Amino acid sequence: MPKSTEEQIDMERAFAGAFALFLERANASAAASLTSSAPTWVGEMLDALAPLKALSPGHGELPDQEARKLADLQDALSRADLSKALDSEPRRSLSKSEQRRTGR
Amino acid sequence: MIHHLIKQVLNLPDASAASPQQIWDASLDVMTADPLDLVLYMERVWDLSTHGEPRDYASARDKLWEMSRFKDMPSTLYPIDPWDHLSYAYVLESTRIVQILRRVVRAYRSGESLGIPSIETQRWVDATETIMFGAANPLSAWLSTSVVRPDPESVRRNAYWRMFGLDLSFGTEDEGAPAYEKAAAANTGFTALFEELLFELWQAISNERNLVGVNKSDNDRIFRIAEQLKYVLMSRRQKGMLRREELAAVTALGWAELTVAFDSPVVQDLVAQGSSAAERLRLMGERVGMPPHSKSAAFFSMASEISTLMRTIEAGIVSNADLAWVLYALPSSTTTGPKPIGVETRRVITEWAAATGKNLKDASKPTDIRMPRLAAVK
Repeated sequence: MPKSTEEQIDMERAFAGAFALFLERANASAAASLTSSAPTWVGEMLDALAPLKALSPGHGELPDQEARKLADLQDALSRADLSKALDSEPRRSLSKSEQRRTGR
Repeated sequence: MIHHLIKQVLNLPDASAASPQQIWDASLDVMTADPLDLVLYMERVWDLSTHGEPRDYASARDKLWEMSRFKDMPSTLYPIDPWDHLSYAYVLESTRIVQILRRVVRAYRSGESLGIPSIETQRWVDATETIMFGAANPLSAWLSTSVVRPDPESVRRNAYWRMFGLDLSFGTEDEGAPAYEKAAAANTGFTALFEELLFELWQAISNERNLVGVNKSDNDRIFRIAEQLKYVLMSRRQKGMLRREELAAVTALGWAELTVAFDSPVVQDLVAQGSSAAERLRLMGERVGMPPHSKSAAFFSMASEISTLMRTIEAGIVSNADLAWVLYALPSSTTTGPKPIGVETRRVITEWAAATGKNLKDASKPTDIRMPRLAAVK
C-alpha cells in the first residue's frame, strides 16, 4: 500500500516504463528469441522495475492519541522472554538459613 | 500480572534484553516469594490502576504495602490496566493446567505420593493455594471469591462465558459437568466476529507487499469488525465490570504459566523437565493422572499475543480504516515509538487455527457484523 499520492504516481510511472520496455524488446527480439536461450531484455526489464522495490509499503503514522495509548499498552504488557530461562542452569546457591534448615 | 512482577524484579530499562541467568533468577525470586507479598503486590497494582476511590491514599492497603518485600517498585499511577486481557487466562486455562496443578497441590498436601518436596516447592505450594485456590494468607487474594461464589474456577468460567460466550472444552476435575452461573448477558457472537477479523487480517497480511496484483485486503472491513468487537467486549465492561475478575484470572493463570515456563523447582521435583511449557505440563499431568488438552502447545504459544491483540482492539487504537494497518503491519527496523502488532496477529492466526482446527485463511462467505443481538437472552 503506497504511502502517498506522490508514491502512487512514482509506482505507476515505473510500471508503465517497464511495460513499455517489455513491449519494445519483445517486439524487436521476437524472431531472435526463437534461437536465443537467454534474451537479455529480461534483465533490462527487471532493472526497469527496480524502482518498484524501493517503494516499500508504508502506513503513515499514528495520531498522537492512538500512539500514546499503544505505547502505554505495549509498555504494560511487555515481558521478559521466559523461554530464555530454559537456556540457563539453576545456579542459585542456598542462603545460609536455607543451608542450616536443609543440612546442605 | 506475574510477568509484570518479574519485570519489576529484573529492574532493567528493557526487560526483553535480560540475560537467561537474570530471567532465571527473577523468575525464581517470584516463584519462591512469600504468598502474602504476592497478594500485597497484587493489591498494589490494583490500587495504582484504580483511580478516584474515596480516600484512596489513606487506606489500610497503602499501609500494608509499606511492609511488603516488593515495596520499592515504582509507585506512579498506571494510565492503563497493566495486566493481560481475560483471553490470556482463557487460552491458558484451556490447556487444563489449573486442574493438573490442583491435583499436584492436593497430592503434596495429603501425602508423599509425589515424593518429598524441596523447600522451594513447599513455598510454591503455599503460594499456589493462595493465588489459584483461594487460601487466605492472611488476606484472601483480591476478593473475586466469597461464600457467594466460592470456587475460583467457576468464577472464571462465568467471566469467560460473559465476555466470549465460550466455555472451557472440558468439565470439572472429576469429569463432571461444570457448575457455574451462565449469565443471560453474554457475548455469544464473539467467536464468529473474532474469526472473521482474523480472516480479514490474513487477507491484508497476504497482500501487504502486493503492489501490482489484485489486492483483497480491506482496511475498512478490518476497522469495522475491530470496532464491532470493541463494542461487544466493552458492553461487558461497563463501569469496570469484570475488571477484578479479570485481574484475579490473569494472575492465577500467569502463576500457572510461570510454573511450567521453565524447569522450576516444582517441575524438577516432579521430574517433569522438558523443552517447552506444553511438554512440562504433559509430564506433570502424567504424574497426577490427568492429560492436558491435546492442543496445549498452541494455547501456550498464543497466550501473550492474543492478550496484546485484544487489548489493542479494546483500546480503540484502530479508530478509522486508515489505522487498520496497526493490527497487521510488521514493525520495521526504523520504527520508533509504538510498534504495529503484526507479529502478534500472525501468531494468533496460526495458533487459533491450530487449536480450533478451522481454516482461517479461507472463508466461504463474510460474517454479518451488524450483530442485531449482541447479548444472548435466555
